[in-house]
Amino acid sequence: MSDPRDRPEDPLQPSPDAPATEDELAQSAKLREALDDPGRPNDDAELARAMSSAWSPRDLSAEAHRTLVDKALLHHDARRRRNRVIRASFGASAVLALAAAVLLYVRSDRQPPETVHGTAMAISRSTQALFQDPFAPSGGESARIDRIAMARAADLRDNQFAKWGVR
Amino acid sequence: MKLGWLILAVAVSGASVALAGCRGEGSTTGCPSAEPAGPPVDEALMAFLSAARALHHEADVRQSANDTAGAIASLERLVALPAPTAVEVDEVIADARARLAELRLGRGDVDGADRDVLAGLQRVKGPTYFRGHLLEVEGLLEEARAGALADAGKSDEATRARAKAVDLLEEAVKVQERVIDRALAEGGKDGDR
Repeated sequence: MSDPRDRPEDPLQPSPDAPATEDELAQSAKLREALDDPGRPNDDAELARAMSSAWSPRDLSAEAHRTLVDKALLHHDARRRRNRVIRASFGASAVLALAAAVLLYVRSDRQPPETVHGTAMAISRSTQALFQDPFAPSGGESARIDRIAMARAADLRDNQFAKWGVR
Repeated sequence: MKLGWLILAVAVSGASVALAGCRGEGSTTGCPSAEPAGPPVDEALMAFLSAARALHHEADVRQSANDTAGAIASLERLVALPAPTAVEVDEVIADARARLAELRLGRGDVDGADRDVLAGLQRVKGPTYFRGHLLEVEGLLEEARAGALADAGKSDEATRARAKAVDLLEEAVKVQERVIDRALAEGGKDGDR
């Protein structure tokens, strides 16, 4: 097996003994700063810290702790805002349903007592059913009111009897 | 879980809004009960019906004596009577308005007749013979208006009035047909009172 150092140098590969380029110097400075300040995002620094912690775990510095807590709270706040929106949607739906129900109750006709002494009461309703045929083009109004008044007089009599409990 | 609550909330909202709207339309179409619930028939309603009956007969007497103005006055009293809120009241007043319109039309008061018809139509929105009759009277009114316009040489306006008369009479027929269909479907309940 030959020593790699004995191989001829590849003109395309930089020499390991060559001085650091400007780019390499800048990257090393960034890494140094990221290692000093855990708040700075840097993948190489994260990897270095993880390897160091795996080899000799130690307590987090106060600054690193603060950074982690801030990050976690940032996510928590976002979730809390989302939850608030969902809860507000449900609340609005519930309020809408309640308002519609109140509207229904307020606008509903006066509800009659369905029964008195166990007897159904005659309620106000359309008189349409009293008439079998369309009205004549002219006349017939008095006959119609006669019929309506007689029908409702019978209803009123029934309701009175129901109230007195004699039916 | 959240989706379930969402569906429940939407369903409750939808049902409540639909029910509220159904009651507000004045029409019972699509509502849970085709027969709107009203208050029990009571003395106030009966008093109104008795007064209306008396005034219609009073108008008959005056009309038979060729006192059209007197008959109109009786019916004007009828439509101004204090009345409880009841379907019967609306229908009786609508019928009285139709009669008033016919009487006014007989005297050439087309605008007055028109006002009565429109006031009557406000009282009966659903498909009933009362509404159909009012539409029919309005159609006759437009027919009379068309004749008067033609006599006055206003042929374009007369044509429009004739077209309107035909539309109204057609609408009256449609309403009557709907009433008949419904009556046949329900088997004429309450008709033997």
